[in-house]
Amino acid sequence: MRRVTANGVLSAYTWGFLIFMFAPLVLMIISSVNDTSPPSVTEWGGFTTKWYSFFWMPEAQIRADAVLRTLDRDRFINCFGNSLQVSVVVVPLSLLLGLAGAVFLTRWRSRANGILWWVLLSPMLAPGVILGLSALVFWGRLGIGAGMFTIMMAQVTFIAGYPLLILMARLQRQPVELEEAALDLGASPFRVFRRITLPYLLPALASAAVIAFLASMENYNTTMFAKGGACTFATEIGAMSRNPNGHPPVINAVGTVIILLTVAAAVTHSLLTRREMR
Amino acid sequence: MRGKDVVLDGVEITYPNGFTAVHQTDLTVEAGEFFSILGPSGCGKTTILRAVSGFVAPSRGAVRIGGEDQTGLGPNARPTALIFQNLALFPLMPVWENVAFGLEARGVAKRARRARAEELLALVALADQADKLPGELSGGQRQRVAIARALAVDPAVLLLDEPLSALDLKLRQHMRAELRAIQRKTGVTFIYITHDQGEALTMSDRIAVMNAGRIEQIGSADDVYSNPVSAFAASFVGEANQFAGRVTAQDGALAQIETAHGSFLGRNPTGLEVGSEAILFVRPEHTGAGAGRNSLTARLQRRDLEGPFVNLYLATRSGAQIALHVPNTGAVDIGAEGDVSVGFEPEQAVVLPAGPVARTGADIAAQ
Repeated sequence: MRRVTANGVLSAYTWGFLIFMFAPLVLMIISSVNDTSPPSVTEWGGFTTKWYSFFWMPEAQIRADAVLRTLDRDRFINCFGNSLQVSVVVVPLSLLLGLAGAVFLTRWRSRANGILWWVLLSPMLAPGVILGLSALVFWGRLGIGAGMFTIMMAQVTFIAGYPLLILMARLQRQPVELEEAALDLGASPFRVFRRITLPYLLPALASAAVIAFLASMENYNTTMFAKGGACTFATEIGAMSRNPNGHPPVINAVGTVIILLTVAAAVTHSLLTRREMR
Repeated sequence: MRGKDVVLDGVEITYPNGFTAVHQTDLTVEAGEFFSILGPSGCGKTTILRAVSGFVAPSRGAVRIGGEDQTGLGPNARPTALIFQNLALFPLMPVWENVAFGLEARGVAKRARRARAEELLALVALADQADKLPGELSGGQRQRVAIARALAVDPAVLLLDEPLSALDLKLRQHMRAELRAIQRKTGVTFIYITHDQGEALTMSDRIAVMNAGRIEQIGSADDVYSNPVSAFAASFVGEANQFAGRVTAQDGALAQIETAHGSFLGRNPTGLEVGSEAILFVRPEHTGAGAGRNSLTARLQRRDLEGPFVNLYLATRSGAQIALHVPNTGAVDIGAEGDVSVGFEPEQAVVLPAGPVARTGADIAAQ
């Protein structure tokens, strides 16, 4: 019998971990091109791209398909549009808040910094239920009912933490002397920020924007509690997956597209980071 | 003369954590002077520089430049330019934009900025590097860009925070001469911070020796080297043989000091009284073979040839370390075996009040 070594255990664990992570994704991708509903990988109904083309398929073709016929395409597209609208507000707002916090925490050294850091980042750790509900209650008291606005506000509370962390890491690597030198040469604090700090932060701002966008698009739990009657891409997928007849394979197609976009974003990000290192 | 004088009037600087980096200091730097502040790291010299440039507000006292009180003025409103230890060139701007940055901040049009930047780059012999990024230049070139950038704002006072420390020895020596030449050409007041006595001695009109937040001595290079007035100044600037003891007699300009290694006579510039704790300092180049009016018996420990000079290290039976710095004349300089006599003249030794001394190279090597 082969001896069990520490290395063997570690690689078994690693493989187990990878399978646990990626096997569902592989199954999802396979069933996204399988002409069977509810989705299956064991029951092969032939290769199809119809789950992908659902979004631009002619109405007649949808009505001809027993599965697709039951889905509300307009609603789904409408919810996706809502998500884009949310991210259009959430991404810039998060960047702005994150940038302000990062500049403050790295350039204004005070004893309160440690506490402030926790206060600013605690929404990232707080359960989405609490963030969503507190946004709902807070804005409700101010007379604003649940809807698109509360979704945006609830998302910003924790998404702003991502740019904060990314920009802080970048700012900590920039020597303070650069800003001091600019100030010493007669520049106003605003010019120092615009000409020295901001150009230096641009690559980091770009990656923070991508991450904030992804976080906004895929957010489910916070959004769920703040949305009221509105819907977003993520909550709609959630709703579709609770279909009593098993979830429609369209979700698998959408999921596969998200994986591809995420991988593309990650690759772009690491390319940007590599360029920034040089 | 473009330079202005800088006056520290009772300046004291205490940081929020309670640490007093600079104790009450009065200092006048003349207009157009090359003034160095020399001291070990942590002595407060950079803090003084930052107080002059406006990054640190004195807790007490005031900084005046050209007679004008600078209290309440930020770094961007003072007639000073600071050259940082790490140079702080803007990495994302080409060289000419770096140089022209101060003009940009003053609202000068782009064409005029470029012209002025090229003029200054010509002054520092970098006319053909205007469109490169700082990262593409060598260390010495970056150094010169930093100088050009600081000169572009037409400062009355240029503050330099150990700007040569990152360069190798050859380049450093070359840049010393270049800095001195630029200072003469422009007439700007230079305040130069360094822990390198060689830099301070070769470039400066005057030097302030600083330790533990206090200026110990101000004088010309010759003055500071030949006539130190404190134990720290004597031990930090140049090398010195030291004998600690007690003053036993006072005779006009000279004082007799009783030490564990013998009784010696030396100058008494601070008028020490009989009974005072004191240290006698004598330079290795003023210590020679053969008994003088002050003499010791010692044994050779090590002989280092330095080309034109020979460094001899001896030890007495009582444990004193003595260094000799003698010209290499080709003759046998000292007996290699057995006890020899070494000595020095009272006029070349100085007896100073006991106080903190700088760690010497020999101390550090002995550890």
